[in-house]
Amino acid sequence: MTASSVRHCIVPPSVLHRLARSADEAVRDAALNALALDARFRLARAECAATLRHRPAPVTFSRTGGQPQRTIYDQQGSESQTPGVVIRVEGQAPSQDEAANQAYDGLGATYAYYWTVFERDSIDAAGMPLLGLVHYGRRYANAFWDGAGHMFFGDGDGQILTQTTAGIDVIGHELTHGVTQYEANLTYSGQSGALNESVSDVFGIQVKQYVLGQDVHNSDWLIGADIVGPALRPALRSMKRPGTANAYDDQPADMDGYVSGGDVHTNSGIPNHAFYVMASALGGYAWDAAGPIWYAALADPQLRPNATFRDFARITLRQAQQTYGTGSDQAHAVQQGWEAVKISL
Amino acid sequence: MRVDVTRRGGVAGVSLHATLDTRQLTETDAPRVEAALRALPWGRLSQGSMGPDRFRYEIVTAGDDHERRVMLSESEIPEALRPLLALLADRGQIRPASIE
Repeated sequence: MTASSVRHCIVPPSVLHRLARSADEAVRDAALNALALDARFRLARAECAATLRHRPAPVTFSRTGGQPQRTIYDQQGSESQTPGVVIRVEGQAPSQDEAANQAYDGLGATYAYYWTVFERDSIDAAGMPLLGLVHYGRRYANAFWDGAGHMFFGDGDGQILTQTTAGIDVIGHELTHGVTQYEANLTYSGQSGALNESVSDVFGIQVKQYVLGQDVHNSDWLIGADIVGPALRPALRSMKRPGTANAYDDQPADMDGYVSGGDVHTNSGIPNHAFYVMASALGGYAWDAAGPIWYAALADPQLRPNATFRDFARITLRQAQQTYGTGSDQAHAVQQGWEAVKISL
Repeated sequence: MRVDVTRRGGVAGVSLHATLDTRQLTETDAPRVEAALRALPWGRLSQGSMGPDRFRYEIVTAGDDHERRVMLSESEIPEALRPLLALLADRGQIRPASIE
């Protein structure tokens, strides 16, 4: 390559295109060379950006990660989306309000799980403050993440749900909806929606196992056992035996029971069970290998928002093979998990 | 005014259904709820976009001539309709998530 073609790199492509049509052969060749080089640089930049997926976290000197920034607000029965009265801020001693303390601890547990296992600094991997809004609505039987830094907690209706702040797995589940939003951004309907729900259960149960120090054999693999009301006892969902958690549980455990057009909370039983089978086959703590394989798949740029179960399954297998080896126990366990739910890889 | 109300979604993964009559409401609430019901965007069968685990509602009324139906996301519920939703919470029957 000549020195002149290198110098052409700073010339805008439009000018190079004009020069490439020049009658002078030397000018034309130099311009074509520079255009090819320019295209390679652009491709390399695009590939690099696609791998990173997000803008890199800003470099700051005040924040190194590892410490959540929590604030708990009292919504006082209102359904306003604006944060209400501050009850407890980061580092403050427990308040008189049990729901506020449970929310504070649950947000902290979820932050600690993601930081310790993946060095992920909060929901957005860039230190997003975690705001918990308790006593949302009257007898409100739900808890949700609003996609913008707020987790809302209802006190429950006493039948379907009780105080929702009591469920560490449920807090992990809701905050994981935020993580998914920043990673694969799985569309909330059909199979991608069921995957979105399942990923939240998978990491929600791990947050609970992490807090309780439970290995895969000590965990009950039940979601919402601490917040169900009498109508839904003993739990909302069972990852071990989908479809058996309560009288209304319609989750299938494998593709034979897949409900076409079904709710995202129904078909999520299938990938939930695949994770349970894989983690149980590996033993130990779910976050040793099973959780990291699922996390790597969730963060994989090849996981598209409209992914099917099989798309996701194949990415988990590739991640396991890349990290642990093609013939590794981990890769084999992933295969076992998807086989158990009748998804062919 | 009789309406079928179904609530779907929510982290619990069940739906809640009830056939309600505005006569079951207090004398103060009933006319307000009826006015709010009349003002709903009847015939609209797609909710506004909502995040994961949010509630969505379907309301069906048997009018004089034909059945009318509307789907609403939680954030689209007018304040005046809340007494009706409180009634749903009290009297609703739980159903599996994927049963229509």
